[in-house]
This record gives sequence, C-alpha cells and structure tokens, in this order.
Amino acid sequence: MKTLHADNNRFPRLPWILLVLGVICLAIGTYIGLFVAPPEMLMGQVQRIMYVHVPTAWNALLALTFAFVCAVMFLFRSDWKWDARMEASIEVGVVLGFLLCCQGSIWAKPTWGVWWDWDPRLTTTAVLIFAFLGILALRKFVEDPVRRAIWSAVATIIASVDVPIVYYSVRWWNSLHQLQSSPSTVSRQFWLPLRMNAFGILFLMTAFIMLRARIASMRLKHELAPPPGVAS
Amino acid sequence: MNGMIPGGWNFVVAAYSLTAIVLTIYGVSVIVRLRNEVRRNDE
Repeated sequence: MKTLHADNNRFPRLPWILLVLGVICLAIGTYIGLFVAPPEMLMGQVQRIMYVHVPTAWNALLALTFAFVCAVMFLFRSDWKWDARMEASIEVGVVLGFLLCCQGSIWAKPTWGVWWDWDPRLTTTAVLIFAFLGILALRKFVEDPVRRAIWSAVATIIASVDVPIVYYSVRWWNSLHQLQSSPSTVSRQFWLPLRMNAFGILFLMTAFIMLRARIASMRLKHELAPPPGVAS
Repeated sequence: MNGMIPGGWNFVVAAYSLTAIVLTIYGVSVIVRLRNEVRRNDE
C-alpha cells in the first residue's frame, strides 16, 4: 500500500472557492427559476421544482460514478487517497440521492397524485441509495483498514452497475417518470436556471467531496500510524 | 380550465427549502468534522 498523498490536500483553497461559487450559482439559478422563468404549459408553477431536482439527479449520479472510478483506481493502484475519495464520494452521492428522492416526491404529489410510486426509475434509484448506504455501513463496521478498503471497493463496483440502470430506466421500461430532462429536451427559457443550478450543485458537490476526502485521509493516517512507543 | 395544474407554489417552496436545508446541514457537518479532525491531528 502506498502512503497517503498529502491528506488529499493538494489544493487547500480550491474547495472553499468552489463552495462560494456554488452558493452564488445556486442563488442566481434559484432567483431566475422562481421569479423570471415562465410557468410550464401543463405543470404550471410546479415545474419550477425541475430546476433543483434535475441538477441534483445529475450530480448524485456523477458522485456515485466517481465513487466507481475511485474503487477501480484503489484496486489497481493500492493508493489510500483513492479509498478516502471513494468514501467521500459515496457519502455525498447518498446525501444527494436522498435529497433527489425527497424533491421527486414533492413534485410527484401534485403531478401524479401520489408521493411515491414503485415505477422503474424510482425503484432503481431507491435500490441505488440503499446499496451505497449499505457500503457506508460496511465501512463503519469493519475495523481493519485494508479489508475495509478492499471490501468496500468491490461492493462499490457491484453497486455501480445500478447507475446506468437508473439513467436508462425511463427508456428501457414503461415508466410513469418522464424522460431525462436536458437543455435539448426543454424550452430555451428554462435553460439558464437549469444550467446555473447544475453548475451550483456541481461546485458544491466537488467541494464537499474534496473536504470529506480530507477528513477520511486524516482518519486513515491516524489508523495506519504505528502505536505510540513503536520506533519507526 | 386549460389543462394546467393550478397553484402549486407550496410544493415549489417546500422543494427549494428542503434543498437549502439539506445542503446547508450537510455542508456544516463536513466543516465541523474537518475542524475536529484537524484539531485531533495537531494534538
């Protein structure tokens, strides 16, 4: 195993800059989404939820895809910094996934008439969140850092199979959920708030992953340090 | 009646508020945990 790469702290100021940028983008995107963009033809005001729901979905899937990359990198390179990054991206992905389901639920009530439906998109998303939540639980219960890292990397690779399934579920199965929203599928007037919030959450997500990876690296350093009294 | 869902601002406010609350609480928790870990490392 390689040593910790400077506590995942190569760019110490970058996450703080990203945090500020993220908040600014979200503030502008939210203002435009709530007060400037027109209501949608059929969903009316309720459609404004799209400006936070869709960016949250993109970034949740992005965070969990990055966790997959970290897991593969850890298994190939045996470098602890990838284990710390994997833990960070899973946690952030689960938080965004939870937020995604809550926002979706709030949007579903006035449009579908129910808070939740066992439709393919919702079901695969729930499976994804619980699978990664299980990996976080696994990391809590395994004390040996080497076993913990290897087991959670393998589990992450297996759980990541669900990421493309979530994305394509609306195309593969007859789903109550609408097809993926993107600037090419929505009206031009909706682009700006959608993009601003997407960048806002992207910046926040990146900052959270960088800061959380620092925490994980410092904990690992503590765990891997020789006990006091043992000369190095 | 024009086929548009009437009202709905309460759902919009709920979704945006929840987003702000969750992101703020998580952000604060990360910063607090980072500070604690830095302090522990310095000891």
